[in-house]
Amino acid sequence: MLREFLEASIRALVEDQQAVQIKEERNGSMLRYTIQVAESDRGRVIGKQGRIVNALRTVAQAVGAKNRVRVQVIVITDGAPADTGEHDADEE
Amino acid sequence: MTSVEATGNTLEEAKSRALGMLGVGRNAQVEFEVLEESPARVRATLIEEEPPYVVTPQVARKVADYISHFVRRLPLQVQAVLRGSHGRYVEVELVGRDANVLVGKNGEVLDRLQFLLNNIVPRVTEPQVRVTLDGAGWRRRRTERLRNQVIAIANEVKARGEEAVLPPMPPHERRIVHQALKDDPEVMTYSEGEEPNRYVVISPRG
Repeated sequence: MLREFLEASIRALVEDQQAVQIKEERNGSMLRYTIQVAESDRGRVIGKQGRIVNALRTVAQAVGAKNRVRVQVIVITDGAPADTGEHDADEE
Repeated sequence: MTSVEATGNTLEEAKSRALGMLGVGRNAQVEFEVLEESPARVRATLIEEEPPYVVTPQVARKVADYISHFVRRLPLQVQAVLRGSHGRYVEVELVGRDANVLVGKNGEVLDRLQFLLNNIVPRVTEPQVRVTLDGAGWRRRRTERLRNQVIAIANEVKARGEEAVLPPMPPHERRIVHQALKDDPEVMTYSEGEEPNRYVVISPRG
C-alpha cells in the first residue's frame, strides 16, 4: 500500500541507492515497513531529532488510517536498529 | 568593504569558515588572500553578495511535476497543482477527493509532508528551491485567519503598551506573522525559544 511512496521518498533522500531495501509485513490490521539503508545515510533518512522519518510516519499513518490499517515504519542500517523512536501509531 | 581572517587545517576549511564569517554562500564573489599555507590562514574580502535566488517558471513547473508524480504513489485520489511562486518558494496545492487526508488535524500532516518535500525537492531539482504546500485550501484559509488574529493582537499591544507572546508556531507561520506586521510603525516582532517551541513576540515600538 505504501511501499512505492516510501521507496521513492527514501531513494530521493539517500546517497547509496544500492543499499536501500524495504520489507513489508502484514499482521492483521498492522502493516509494518522495515527500511534498510546504508549506515552513512542514516542521518539523511532520520533527520535532526528524527524529523524526517517522523514526517514519513505521519504521512504513512494518515493514509493507513483512511484504510483502517495501523502503519509502522522502522529504519535499520546493516541489520542494526538505527531508530527506536517510533512515535505512537494510534491516530484516533 | 567587509574583510575577515579565518584559519583552518586546510585551505578549503579556512575558506569555508571565512564564508561563514561573512555570512554568505559559495556563489558570492569573494577575494581570498592566502596568508599562511599550513595551518591555513586566509583573508577574505566580500566583493559582491550572491543575488537572491528566484525560481524560474521552468523550475516551478519541474517542482510541481515532481510533487505531482510523488503524491500519485499514494493510494489516494490527489493531484498536485502549481499555484505560483515567489522568490525561492514554489507554491503547490494538493486537490482532489482525498486531499484532506494529507491535511490532517490542524494541518499536521500537511506541515510534515511539506517538511519532507523540502528535504527531497531541493535534492532532485534545484538546491535553493523551497516548497509551500497547501491542501484543499487549508493553508490559504489558515493564513488569512492568522493574519486577522495577528492584526487584532497588534492593536491590543498598541492599546495596552504591553508585549504579546504568541503560541509556538512552525517557521512558515512565524513568517506570516512577521510579514503581516512588518510595515506597522507602532509594533515590532521577533522570535524566541527553540524549535519546535519557537514563538513570536509582538512588542510596542519605541
